[in-house]
Amino acid sequence: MNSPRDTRTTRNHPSGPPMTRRDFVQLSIVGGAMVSLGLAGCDDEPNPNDPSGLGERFTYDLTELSQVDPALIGYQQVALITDALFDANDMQLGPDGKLYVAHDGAIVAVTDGGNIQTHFELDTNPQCFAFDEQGRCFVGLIERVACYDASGTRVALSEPFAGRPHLTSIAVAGGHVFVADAGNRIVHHLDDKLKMIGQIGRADDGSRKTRFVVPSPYFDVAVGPNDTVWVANTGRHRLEQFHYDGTFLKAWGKFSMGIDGFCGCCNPSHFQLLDDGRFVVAEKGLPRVKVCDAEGELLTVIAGPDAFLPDKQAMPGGLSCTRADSPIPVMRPDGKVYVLFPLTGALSLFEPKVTP
Amino acid sequence: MPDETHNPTRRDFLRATVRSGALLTIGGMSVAMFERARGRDWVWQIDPYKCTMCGQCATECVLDPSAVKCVHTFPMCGYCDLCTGYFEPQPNSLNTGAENQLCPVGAIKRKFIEEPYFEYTIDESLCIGCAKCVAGCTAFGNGSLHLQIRRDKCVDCNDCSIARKCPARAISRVPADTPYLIKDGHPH
Repeated sequence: MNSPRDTRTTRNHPSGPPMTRRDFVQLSIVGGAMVSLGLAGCDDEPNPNDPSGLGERFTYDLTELSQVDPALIGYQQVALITDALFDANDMQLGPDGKLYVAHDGAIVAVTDGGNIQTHFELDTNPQCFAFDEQGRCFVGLIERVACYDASGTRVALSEPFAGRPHLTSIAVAGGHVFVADAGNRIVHHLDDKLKMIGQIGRADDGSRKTRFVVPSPYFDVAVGPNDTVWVANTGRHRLEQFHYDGTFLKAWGKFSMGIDGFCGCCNPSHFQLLDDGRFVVAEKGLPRVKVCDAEGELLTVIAGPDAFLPDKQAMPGGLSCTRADSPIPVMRPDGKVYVLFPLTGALSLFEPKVTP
Repeated sequence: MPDETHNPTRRDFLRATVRSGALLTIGGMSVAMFERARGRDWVWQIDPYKCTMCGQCATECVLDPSAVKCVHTFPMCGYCDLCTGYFEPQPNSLNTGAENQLCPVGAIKRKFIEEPYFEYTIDESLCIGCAKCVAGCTAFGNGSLHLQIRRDKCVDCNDCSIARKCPARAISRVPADTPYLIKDGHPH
């Protein structure tokens, strides 16, 4: 039975209990508040710095992500050796201690003073190369591998690899040649006569699939200790270790836009395995070079995006390049690091910071 | 008996030169007149290798939404699970949730192909040409997403308002019989 107040302020409702004036006011206030909150959430004014006319939330800005904590940067650039190595593909230390670069249809030697001398020329642009203990140079030529002696005379040539080969890295040790093929997403294992021994990365089910996910032409390989090789499984953001026979051993790495992981779709783009088990790793997208221990823990940063893209505000997203490119690092035995950035052609030398 | 060896005089040479020049001029004029008679023979297009993804294509076109759309060069695509043209730089997770997507209008469709590969296609009826996805794809990936002026949308202004504002001067006229400038996979 309704109270006298109810009968005074409500109308009879056939399908439910009658609503009091107080209920109505309360509901109105709550509803109004919800609508206001909703409108406030939708209030996304166009960003004046974004010509697309979209709101702040849609601004594509990598500026903050490209920042590296200065306390983590343990190296400093001490020299710009040259800026004439635009679109170079690979860089290695030779057995003679000199620095060699695959650039413009040749393997060239670069001195610390910036002098560039042709070591030997090639018919096609070299994609990657590596020296063995005898000073022979194994060069990846998109579809096949060629071996040159110290005088630059070709002494061996592999058969073209089947499928859609795109060779991106070579590692050589003890008569074994490992060739990373980004096109086929496989590592070919050859002998030093360039005859095929096997492949690393085939799926266990025997299908044409491989375990490597390589979305872009960055696929690095390095020889490790005890008949093992390390391979950059870039699409999975990790480095993986295999026995020469292709047996998977272990892996480390994770996706992160932060400095502790590998950013973007596919990284690390390049890496160098040091004698003490540490890794020098490089990323593209946010071009970064850092040193990790044998288990993948970050030890220090050699160079962040600021070192490569100083004019970062020039482009949407806070980058100053119109394509993703990766720095190529090479650490010398004395701990100094050469870093080549092919997009600008700049080859720089970094030294560990001296802590007072 | 006439001499069979004919040594042209200077006058012969001049006459032949003038005649050839006249013929070339007439030929060139004919071709030009023919091309003009054909009507619309040059159209506006974006050079994807010059584009800096500034976003003005979305707002400067006389059409709303813009005649500029994102296109996908599939042979260049890595079919990434973590597509930086589809996902925010730091997505919560790799799924089609709106909060994870970079595209402000949800114009990119993500389709599973096989583990771990996904195909990305553009719904041009939704695309506004803002180039957010292009910036993401170019910054980290292969740059397979890029902008083009769609011929079925463009009204061929004599003075393209986007071209006038383009900071990279990436928009120019191209022959109408080859109206698109699709990336070929090689850096330019």
